[in-house]
Amino acid sequence: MELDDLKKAWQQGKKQSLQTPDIMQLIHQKSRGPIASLKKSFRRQMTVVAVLLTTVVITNGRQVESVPGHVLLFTYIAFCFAVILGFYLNYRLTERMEHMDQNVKENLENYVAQLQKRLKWQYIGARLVVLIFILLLEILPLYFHARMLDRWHSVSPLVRFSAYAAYMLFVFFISRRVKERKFGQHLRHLKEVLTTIK
Amino acid sequence: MSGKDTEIEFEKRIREHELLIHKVCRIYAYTDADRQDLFQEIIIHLWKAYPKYQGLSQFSTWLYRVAINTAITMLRKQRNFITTYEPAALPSHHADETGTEEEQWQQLARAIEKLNEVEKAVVMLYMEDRSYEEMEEILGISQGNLRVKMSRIKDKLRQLTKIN
Repeated sequence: MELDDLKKAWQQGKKQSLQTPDIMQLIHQKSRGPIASLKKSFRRQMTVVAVLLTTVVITNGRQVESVPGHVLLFTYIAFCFAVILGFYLNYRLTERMEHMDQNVKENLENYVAQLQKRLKWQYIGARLVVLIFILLLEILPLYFHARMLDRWHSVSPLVRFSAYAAYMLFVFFISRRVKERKFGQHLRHLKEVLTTIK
Repeated sequence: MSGKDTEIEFEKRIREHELLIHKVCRIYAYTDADRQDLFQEIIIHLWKAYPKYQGLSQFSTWLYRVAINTAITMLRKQRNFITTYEPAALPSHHADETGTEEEQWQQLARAIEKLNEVEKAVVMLYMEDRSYEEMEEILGISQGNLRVKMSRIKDKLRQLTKIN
């Protein structure tokens, strides 16, 4: 049997059961592919940092009296904005990956390179969010007096730092596992495909 | 052109070429549910890329690019990964080569499933009678390289259909 013998049947498409869904409805659906998942992760990180920022500004903004307190608050706000901007840029770059109209080889090369870069940033971002949270817990009580933070600061430093270390470790392993489960196999597979193209 | 007009124009063009998308889904996904998911993803990506389409290439060429790219890069579930062709791992049973066109078709479909993603794209475009020039435009592989690949794929399929 030769491939050419079956060309006609293939072109007529008579072996295929055609059930085309409503196109207009489909274009308004959300993608469920890996890029959408990565975009969702950047959106989530932006939201977490924005919520942390808003919470601190609302709860402590009026309590700032000293000059170092002001400096700390504005440094914190600027830092959070920079982090949000970083996530946003990554989000936009990830969004660009959705335009898959280059030829297959070029698209795959860009896709793999971009995916690796964005995953690295998403990985760094996850740690950065934890670090911001820890800094908040440690530095803010020196200038502001919130009941919850004061209570946490009355716990011995050894316990506090051990808790931070355990949390960091937990996040480190969890995010690595999630990354591997969501994208590890996918990336390896795409690299294999890329090798076959080259 | 208003957003609504663009939507209508897009739908019309997709309807004209829907068979191509179905063929891509057919060759890259193995269950009905996966085919539906892939179809949806392809439409979403086509719609997102549509504002950038300037008519520099044929619509079908552009559509193939987006559809194949989406199919290759879409995350698949572990259970639906089809292993690629490994001659040593296959049994050496030789089936009867004669049969009806339907049987031959089924045999070929099973053999195509065993090809890797790039080979599937090449076979599909070949079966669609696309020129090597257009295949180069879609896949980004040089025509010389494509001819070599096609010849190897034919050998592979011949072997696979004998083994099946």
